[in-house]
Amino acid sequence: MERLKAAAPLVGTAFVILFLIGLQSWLRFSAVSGRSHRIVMWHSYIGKEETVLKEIVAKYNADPALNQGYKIEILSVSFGNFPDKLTNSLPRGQGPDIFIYAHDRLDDWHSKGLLAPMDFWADKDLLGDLTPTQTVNAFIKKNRLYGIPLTAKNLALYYRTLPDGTSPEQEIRELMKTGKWDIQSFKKLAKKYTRKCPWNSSLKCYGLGYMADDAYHHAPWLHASGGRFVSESGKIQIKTPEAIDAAKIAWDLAGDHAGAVCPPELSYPLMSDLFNRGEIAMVISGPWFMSQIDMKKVKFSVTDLPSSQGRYAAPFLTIEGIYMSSRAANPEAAFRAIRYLTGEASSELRARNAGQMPVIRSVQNRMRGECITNPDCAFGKFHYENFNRIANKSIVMPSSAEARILWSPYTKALAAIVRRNVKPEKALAEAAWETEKYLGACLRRGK
Amino acid sequence: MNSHSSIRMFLTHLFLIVFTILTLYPVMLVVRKSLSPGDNFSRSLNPVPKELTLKHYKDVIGSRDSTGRSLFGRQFLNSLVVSLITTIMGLFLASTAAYSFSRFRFAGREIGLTMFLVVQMFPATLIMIPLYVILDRLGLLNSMTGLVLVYSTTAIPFCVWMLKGYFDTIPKELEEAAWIDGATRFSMFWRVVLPLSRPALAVTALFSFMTAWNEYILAETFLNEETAYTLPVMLQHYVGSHSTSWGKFAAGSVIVSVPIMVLFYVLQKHLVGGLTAGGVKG
Amino acid sequence: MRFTCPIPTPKRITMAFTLGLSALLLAGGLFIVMRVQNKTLENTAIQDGNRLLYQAYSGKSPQSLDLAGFFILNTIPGSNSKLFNFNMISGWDHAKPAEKLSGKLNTLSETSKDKRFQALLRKAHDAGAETLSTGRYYARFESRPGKPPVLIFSIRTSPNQVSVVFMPLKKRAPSAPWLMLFISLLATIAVVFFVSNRYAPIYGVLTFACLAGLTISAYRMNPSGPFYSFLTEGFRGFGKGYFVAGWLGLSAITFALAITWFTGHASRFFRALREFRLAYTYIFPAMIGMMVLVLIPFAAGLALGFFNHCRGEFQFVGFSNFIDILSGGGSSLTNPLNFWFTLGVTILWTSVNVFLHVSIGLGIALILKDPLLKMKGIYRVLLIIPWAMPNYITALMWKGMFQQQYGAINILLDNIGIGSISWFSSFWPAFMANVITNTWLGFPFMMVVSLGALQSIPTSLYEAAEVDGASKWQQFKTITLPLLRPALFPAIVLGSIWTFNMFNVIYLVSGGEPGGATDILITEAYQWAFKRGERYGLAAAYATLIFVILYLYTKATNKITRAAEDM
Repeated sequence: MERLKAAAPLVGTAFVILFLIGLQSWLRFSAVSGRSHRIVMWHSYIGKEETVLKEIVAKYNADPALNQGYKIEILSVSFGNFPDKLTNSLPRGQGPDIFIYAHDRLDDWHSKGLLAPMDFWADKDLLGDLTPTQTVNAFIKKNRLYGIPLTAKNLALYYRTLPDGTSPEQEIRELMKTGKWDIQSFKKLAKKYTRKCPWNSSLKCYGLGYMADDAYHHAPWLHASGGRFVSESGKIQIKTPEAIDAAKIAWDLAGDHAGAVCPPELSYPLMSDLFNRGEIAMVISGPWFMSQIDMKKVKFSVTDLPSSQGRYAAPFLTIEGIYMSSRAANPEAAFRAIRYLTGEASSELRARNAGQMPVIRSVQNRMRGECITNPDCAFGKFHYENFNRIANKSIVMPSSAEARILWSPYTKALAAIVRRNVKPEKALAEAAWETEKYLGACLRRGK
Repeated sequence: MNSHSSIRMFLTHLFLIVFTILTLYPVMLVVRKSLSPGDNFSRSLNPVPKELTLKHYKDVIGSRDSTGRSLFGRQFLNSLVVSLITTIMGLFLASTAAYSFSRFRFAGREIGLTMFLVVQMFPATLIMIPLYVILDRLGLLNSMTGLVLVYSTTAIPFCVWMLKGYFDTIPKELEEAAWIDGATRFSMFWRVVLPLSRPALAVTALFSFMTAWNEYILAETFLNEETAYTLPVMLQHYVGSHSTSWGKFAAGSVIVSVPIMVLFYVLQKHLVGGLTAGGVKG
Repeated sequence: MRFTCPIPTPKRITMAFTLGLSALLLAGGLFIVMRVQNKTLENTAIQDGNRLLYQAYSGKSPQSLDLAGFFILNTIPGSNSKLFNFNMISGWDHAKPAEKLSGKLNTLSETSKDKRFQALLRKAHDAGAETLSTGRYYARFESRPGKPPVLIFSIRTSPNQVSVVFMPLKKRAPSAPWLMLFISLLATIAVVFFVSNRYAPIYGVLTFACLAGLTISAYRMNPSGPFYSFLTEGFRGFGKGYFVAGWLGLSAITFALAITWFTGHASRFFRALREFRLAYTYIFPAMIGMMVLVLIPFAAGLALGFFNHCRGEFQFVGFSNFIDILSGGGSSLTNPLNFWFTLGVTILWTSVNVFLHVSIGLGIALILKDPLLKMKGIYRVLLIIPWAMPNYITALMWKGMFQQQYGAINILLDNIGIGSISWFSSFWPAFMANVITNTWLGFPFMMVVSLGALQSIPTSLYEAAEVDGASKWQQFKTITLPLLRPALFPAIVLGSIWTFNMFNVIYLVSGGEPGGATDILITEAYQWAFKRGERYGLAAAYATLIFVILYLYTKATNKITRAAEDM
């Protein structure tokens, strides 16, 4: 008896393990048995976008004529962990059948063999009516189609009526009409609104709010200066005269000096708070910013970014779409689901309730037509007209693996320029050197 | 003498109150965010919210999946089950091992002890991929069992070290006395050493519980169903690609930290039990 | 203590090794046979595909090959020029091989609603597009659960025409994971052998049940896992390397054991095993878990440091990752990317933090220990909140408080008259911001540990000191500190390890600003893995260096522990 007691830890563990294994097999078997007739979809939407997606899926699952027995199961994966979870699980058969993500990981996932091409099903119905035209091309890699677009997102200029009743609207309209809406006049305008707040002199008001030290938000200035992050031939460009010009624009607007028109060290929640209070008159942000605005109190509008010497300050266009896994258990059924989720009915629902700009022309036209009779139409409410116009002029965000390496050094360089007044030449040279180092042997060996 | 000590008491309290308020200020900001509407960070310094709303809490607790099942209850339960089993398993595995390390001078003891310490030194992010493969091989992905096993093995090294340190301070004479009374090794361990190490057991229990309770990266990587997720995983889902639901994030954080405080409150009395209750003197 | 255990006699050891080695030989033999078989299988399959196409085109008499499908596709000129679009010229399925190649290809219309045909056509389309985009032939096995895999073979037959063949392999997957069961059996024999006669049957049965259960569940539950694919996909399954690695590992262990046996280490080991069997029994449960879930990933992490990752492929590069890091990678000593710079920051970071954690934690614990103090419980609960609340949100709160213009700290400093500080624009303020946040997060833990540890000091000692007229400070120095040491010491060692690897605070508060200067080694490793083009190998090398540094640190502290134990 005593001896048995002495061995108790061992026996105890053995039993615990056996019990857990038993429990485990029971759970796993029940999970696997239902697997053949479901389509697993991963996404990282939050808030309204998630709610509406769930509604659409519920509709699809409820209609046997649509789903033909294959129901969609949604898994929400946090945005930060999405790519890692996907690359971990897909090759081991644990991943989703279809998943929603922006187009900028296409190159990475394609080279790892995670994606299934969908061009077999691609037809006029599916691709012919998409707008802007860049949206389709974003998902094409080596003549094969890997994603169907859901929506496109890009930056735009927000401005609001301030608490004292003034608004930059009139001036912006005037400048646009006379064709003088360029970076110089934009800066002058922002400068005008950078002052002690007229309604509370203890506060400082700013003309502009944007994330000056972030490469994505810096892109319009680079494009307006005639530069590109990635050249036509796919080569990374960092320290070019255009990039230095663009960095100077950023420093002018938001650098650490008395003439800056943008508050330092902005973060999104802080920026939206300041905009809601009227302490920032204009903000450069994407459609996602709209959900942060206090619609009841703030009267705001969205418009084009300024240009420089006739070159438009084109923001990046990010296209969100649905991909199919190369391990999808039933590609035919999975594609049926994708077709529905990206289709007209779904697109319209997402546009009306989730603020996702429709990228199907017929949906756009139908919704636009509504606005003639109904001033509260969704197309006007979400400023789709403006976003769509800007999207047509936008530059598709590069999706190559090399381009993705660029963001971190570039952002670091911008932070140095904007926050610590480092000379653009020096900071960009540093970024160029770092990028070269990060690319390492992987790129040099060639593709 | 009496007035002197009451002045001292007053000063002690004053210091503690000021210190506690300073400590709690950032926490109060989180609470303020969770109680005020919208997702913006108010830039005012006042920790009391201007407008009170329970909407964020309602949203967090009322979250549902696409088939309309309530998620919060399940996820809370998952968290609780995983953390409790982790605590029990961690304590059980660690106390036996720590006892051995503390009481026996066996071959390989040094190596073993070092090993238990060394394995924590490798950053977890790089261990995740091999761990995923192992769990996949064992068929333990997407299950609580796998998560519990991973968490308890992560917590073991710490627990072993803490308990070993404490066991070392318990005089061997007590066990020798029990040995003379005819006790076995196991009953010495179970009846003499463990009851005397309640403070250390409380600390390690709290630690194991928190390891499991606050973890989200492994949980999210290993689990593939929303109803299987734990609470911190859900919390991460309020952080989106472009915007974050700060209100819900803060409300969720407050909810997540409440059980730990409750647990700590329960464990407190053990923290101050220990040797003072008897033992050496007797 | 009172266990009786027969010392393993040389005879029994010899027997075990004979058994083990023969088993390994058997496994190795199996391995070679299957490998050869599968390789030829694949080769013949491709040859068959080629021959078939040749016969189809040259009009020669068909062989009786079991085909699942055959397609000839033409690209559609001018249709969406960015994509490959095909017209089906001819195709078949469902038909018997003899009919298929009897000269008349039964052309099916492209709009056929037959699901199976559509799926086949899609696969043909994909294979054809692959051929056209790579410009060479394309062959792929498609595994089907429970059935032999199908070979899909596609070749370019004219500038804008491809032909695709579907051909099932004749080999079937074994119906049970025999190999795994066999390994379980081996393990069981080993266990039975090492355990004393009395308990051998129990342990044997338990081990076998565990291992076999695990095996079967792993096999049955994971039809797409590599073990299964080794069984179904044959050669391609081997290519995934798990079996090979396992086999090599097993034989390495056997050889190591054989060597220890010859040198006499084995018998000493067995003697120790018998002598301290009670000690080992107590450690065993924790050890087994650690082995599987901590040590194996740990070893994998170490090994990864010798590889370079590029677009999903790993390549062995020897020590070059380490050389790259230790030489500073071409950056000067003052560059934040230089390993030695980061190491300096990390050591400074760790020592400042641990010092603050321990002194504040212990100080508060001593105050809270005062038996006369009321409301201790409330203070204790309130003061652990920084530890209880998830640090990924509180760290963000702190970041907000350090904001240059709207942050609480700067507004406070402004009001006092010190003037606001731009926290993240230069090194020391940014470093201090991190330290303040982490001290806030870390002191409650030390407080709780100290509270527990203080309990191990008998109050009688203080009473005696009180009688001797010792001052509070003397009591603290002569009683509290020395007696706290054994219990507090592990916490300090562990605390420094955690602080050394404290990722969240650095990443969320300063984010490495200015210019990466406040990054510590772990955030640097993370960035190499996730922000700088997935250089997993380099990140693992960083992690290995972190490990080596911490290992040396604990070695040094171990000496102190040992000195303390000997007291």
